[in-house]
Amino acid sequence: MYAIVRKEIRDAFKNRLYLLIAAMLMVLVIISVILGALQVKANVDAYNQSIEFLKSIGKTDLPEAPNLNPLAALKSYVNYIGILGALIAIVQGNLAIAKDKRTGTTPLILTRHIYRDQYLSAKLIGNMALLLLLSVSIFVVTLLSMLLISRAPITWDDIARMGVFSILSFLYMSLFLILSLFMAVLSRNTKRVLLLTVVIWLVISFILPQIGDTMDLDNQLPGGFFSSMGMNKEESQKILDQFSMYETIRDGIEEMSPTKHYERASFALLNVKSGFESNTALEISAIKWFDIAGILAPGILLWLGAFMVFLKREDINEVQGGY
Amino acid sequence: MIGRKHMAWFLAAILGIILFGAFSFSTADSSLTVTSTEKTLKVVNGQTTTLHIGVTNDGSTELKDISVQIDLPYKWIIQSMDPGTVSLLPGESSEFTVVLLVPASENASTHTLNVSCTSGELTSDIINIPVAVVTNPMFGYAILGCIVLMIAGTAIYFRRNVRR
Amino acid sequence: MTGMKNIAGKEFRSSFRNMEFLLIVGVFLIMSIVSVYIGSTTKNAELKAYEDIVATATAAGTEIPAAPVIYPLAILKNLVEYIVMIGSVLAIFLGFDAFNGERRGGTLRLMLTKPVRRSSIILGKLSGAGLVVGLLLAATLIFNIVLFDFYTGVFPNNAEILRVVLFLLVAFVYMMDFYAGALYVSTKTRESSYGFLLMMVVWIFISFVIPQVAESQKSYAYAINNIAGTVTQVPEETVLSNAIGWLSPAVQFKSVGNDLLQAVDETATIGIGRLLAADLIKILYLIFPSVLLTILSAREVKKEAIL
Repeated sequence: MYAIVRKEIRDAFKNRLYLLIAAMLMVLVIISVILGALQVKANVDAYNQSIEFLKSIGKTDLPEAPNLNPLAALKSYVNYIGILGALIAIVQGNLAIAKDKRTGTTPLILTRHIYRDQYLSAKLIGNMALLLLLSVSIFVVTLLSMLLISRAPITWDDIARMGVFSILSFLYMSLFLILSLFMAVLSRNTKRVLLLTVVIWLVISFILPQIGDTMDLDNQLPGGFFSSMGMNKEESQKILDQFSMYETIRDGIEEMSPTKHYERASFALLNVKSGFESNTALEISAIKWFDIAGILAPGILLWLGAFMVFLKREDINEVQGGY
Repeated sequence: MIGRKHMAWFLAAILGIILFGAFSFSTADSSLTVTSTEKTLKVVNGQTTTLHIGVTNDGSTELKDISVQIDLPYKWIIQSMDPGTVSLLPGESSEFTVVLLVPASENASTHTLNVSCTSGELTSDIINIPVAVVTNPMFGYAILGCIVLMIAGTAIYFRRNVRR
Repeated sequence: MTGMKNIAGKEFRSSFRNMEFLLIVGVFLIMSIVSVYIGSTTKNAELKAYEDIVATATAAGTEIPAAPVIYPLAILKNLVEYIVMIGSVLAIFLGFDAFNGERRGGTLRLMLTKPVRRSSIILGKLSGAGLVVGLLLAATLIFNIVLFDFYTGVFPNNAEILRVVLFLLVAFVYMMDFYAGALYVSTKTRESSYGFLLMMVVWIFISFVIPQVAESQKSYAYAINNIAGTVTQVPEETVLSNAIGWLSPAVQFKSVGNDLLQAVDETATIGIGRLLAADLIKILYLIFPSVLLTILSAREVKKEAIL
């Protein structure tokens, strides 16, 4: 098993497409984090200048520092992981099975003393190690950018939140890795399975959230539908009461998307969504258990499904569709 | 005996005291105190929660049409409030039972309800009640159940097929 | 010319035998129907909410707010998003293996033994794909007009139909940009999956990354939301956000599409002529990549190493 894990990692570093996409993701994340850190630094400098000025004119009653929320610099990172990170994982998962099929090494490996589930597990572990390496690299780069560029006061809780957020990003990418592995094991046509996986990714990552956003009345007009009607809160609440089923359906559609769960949990951790400022990273993880389960559970189910499919597969020598 | 000059000062002083008392009586009169039986709330999204708001007239005049004002998060609804308004004599208290509906689209989060009572132009102090919105734990059990079933199914599948 | 027609015909027929392509066509058609349904449901919800607001205001004797301005074609505006999300991927599906598949299957050599100009191969493939995309968008047009009539009870007038037709023409150009890109990549690479994934990365950059970067450079005016009791930010374009937007055909397509489908108040009621004149530069910008990539593909095909 260990040999297969090592091979997966080595093969990834020889695959130009994987390196290209991973490099693009790193560059994007670095740029977005640096831009965000610079914005935070600008806010910190503005506050410090105000304090210096007040001190210079003899004021002693100085205003408190505003909540600079340095973690909000990572907001774009959520989108990039949601899109590019998922694509990297899909590429990895597909390649993991397809390359062995193409070269005919799958039946050769299975003649060795390795069970089929161990073979799949080794593939998964090797590729998850790569995703973990990616997540850790991005975490380190982000932390250094925040400390060295923004110079915003970062607490241990902020670092813990970033750590939990990186773990969540890793789990999200792992979900798509497992999906891609499952599809590659399920289908004999290697070309077709990649396209099908991409279609599934499109539906759950883009189309379902888009439908949910479109159905939100308040997204239809700038500033909000009810405020555009000049409604006050009490009046709008009477109207909203009649749309509870509509809201339930809209929310149900959004709940089907793991991307939406990832976004919700991430925004809570990064303080992009208000209301979580006083919670620790672990408390937020506990509050957002359902969103975390929405990412973990499909992965576990798909993984067990992959075991069952691969166990039954007798035609592992055959490759259709080319690659 | 008080002389005529002293009598004038004496009467003026008494008049001043009476007027001052009347004036301060009328300003110290209106005082509305609001309390809540629930210090924190926990509610499942898509469901209702009940708040018991106590209001006391600490002033010295009757206060009419006292109602509860709650600064609710967006899309939350006051499903019912019983009674709608009350009138209280000085020293009297009453309790409002407020049923709030949290929309199903509200994700697990924490909010603060700012509650006060008003009677005309008089407003009480605001009390803050933290609210935690949680996801229905039944979903968690359902997810765990699915995973356990799948694990059991996989184990049985492997045993039946003999070969790993 | 005959060779080009034959290649176009073959491309047209073979696309309907491609299961993955048919799958994504199905997704696209379903989403275009769903978008009309959601658009009309949302507008109906707004109208119902407005009626309730009027009833409440009438009962309370307070001022009745002005009705929300809902333009008829605005219920189709989600089509813009679905063309960007699915339509372009559909074009990539059509084109990523168009050339490489011929090379791998040996039919490219066979084609080149016939009296067919090499550039005709590219033009034939483009024509065939153009027919497929055109047919798909024509079907979308008919679906949307029928559904529009069904959900609103009103048949669009000539000006509205013209706007929808023009929108679908612009969508055709946008989708062909991606097909031309996929075809060019297919001529350059020997591995179809590599070409496909490369185009997906290009798609991600054009459709999401660049627009997000442009969005992040906008300035924000503040509007008080008296319902939520919060201050909301209303984004405004800056020179930098505009400049970055010009790097992405998706941004320009959305701009033209929203203008044509009455999603923007300022251009919802102006004449078609004026609208096209205002958006002419953007439309030419959308045509340019197809032309450039076709020329590059034709040049690539002429090289000996193409076999």
